[in-house]
Amino acid sequence: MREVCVVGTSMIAFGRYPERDYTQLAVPAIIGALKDAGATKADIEVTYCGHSYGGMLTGQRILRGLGLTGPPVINIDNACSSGSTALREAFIAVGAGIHDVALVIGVDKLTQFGGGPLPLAAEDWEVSNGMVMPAVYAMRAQRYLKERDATVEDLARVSVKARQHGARNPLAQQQTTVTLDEVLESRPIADPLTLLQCCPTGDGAAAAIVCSREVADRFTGTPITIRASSLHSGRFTPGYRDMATAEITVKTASEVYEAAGIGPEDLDVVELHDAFTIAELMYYEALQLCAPGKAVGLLLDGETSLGGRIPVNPSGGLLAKGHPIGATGIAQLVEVVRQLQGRCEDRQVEGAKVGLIHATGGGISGLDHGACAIHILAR
Amino acid sequence: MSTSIEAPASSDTLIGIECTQCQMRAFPPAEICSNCLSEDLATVELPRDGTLYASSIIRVGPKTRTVPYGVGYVDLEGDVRIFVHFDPANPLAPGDQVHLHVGEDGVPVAESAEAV
Repeated sequence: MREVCVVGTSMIAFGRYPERDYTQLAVPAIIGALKDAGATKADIEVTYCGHSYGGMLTGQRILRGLGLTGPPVINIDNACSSGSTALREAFIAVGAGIHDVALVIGVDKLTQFGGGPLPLAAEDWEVSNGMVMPAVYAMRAQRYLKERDATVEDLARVSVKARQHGARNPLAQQQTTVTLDEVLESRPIADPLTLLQCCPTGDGAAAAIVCSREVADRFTGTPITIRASSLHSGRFTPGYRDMATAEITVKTASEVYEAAGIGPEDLDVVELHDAFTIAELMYYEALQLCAPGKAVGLLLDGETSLGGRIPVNPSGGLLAKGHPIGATGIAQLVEVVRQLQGRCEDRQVEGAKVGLIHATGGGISGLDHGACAIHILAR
Repeated sequence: MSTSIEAPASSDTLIGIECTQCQMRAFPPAEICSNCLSEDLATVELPRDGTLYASSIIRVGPKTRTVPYGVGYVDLEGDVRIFVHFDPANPLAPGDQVHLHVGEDGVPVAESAEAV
């Protein structure tokens, strides 16, 4: 595999844009990424478009008005890991020498559903009988609190941190901080999770230019290397499984660390999949940022806040930045690439050299998740 | 050949499948074994008592459902975990011993074994 790097990134501010369609969401991010890289239309040899709810040929619809169709376009759905999977496919194709330069897009518009929990595939028996993602996470939280001797206040503190970080990110959907009481007293969604413990419904798009290291000097952006990529789908079982341990993330993380030749102690910054507060605590453990059972301590000691030992979600994460599901993986890439390029101003992690982005996708009964994708980035 | 099976409505029996090749059990009934790919699956009556693994009361749900409603997972003997509904007026906690009946929609309904 050749060395692959990211030379341009852009995203729109995530939020509610009911009047914009998928093209109107994505085009500013694509133009922004081209500009950020100092790239032109002629440079793009292939486009990977990650989305879950855009319908048939979303990538082509978006690229049509930019005159960027003609080269191959691949549309990818892996639920909340769609953007990350699109990145992985670009990484593989460029690394294998099939293309030199790829455009990667992540986009979704959740306001098209009018609010409420995400519509999941009705063919799934549990979904057709009322299962929703907040309830899946609520049950993980219930088990986790019991097994780790943690409290719902500990969960709520994840939101407090996320909102503190998000308040420093002009592109985050939620721009204000919240108190612990506000989180606990917000509208109950699925016990014990309240509204402010869940990522908000919204729309957004992010884009990046990925290229081989050999051609990176053609562009103006500081190249950030993709050191490794790992992707799994969740293992199915009709029997007992541990819902307080993130099985698919544990496996994917071990693999990606080995592929990158690093350990979790080498990370300077992490953007992980905090779709709900409980997710962040489980992922501290699954990503080996701490020993099992020590996640709450890591949070309460401030280790994962800006200024701490291993800042997690300086962008505000899904909880504050928002989670238009296909866009998330690329938005995480934008944040970590810019952290490594030193462009994050008052949410900059000083001297960041190595970062990790992690996204898990969607609800299918009997699986931990449908997908998990992790990438290691380094300058 | 597997027989097409549907969980009977409003029934006192909980019907699952057991693979005749590897003995893996599943509910609701599958058409092929997810473990060994055998299509030779026997219907089995599953125990109607188990242990609640996890539960939640959903207070904001899909537009097609009235809230609140309870969902959970119950572990049955023999490495089978099933999705259940429960009455939110009587919440269930992990470790509770529960008794099951099959609701009109084919979904097992769990209630505390102590209440029975």
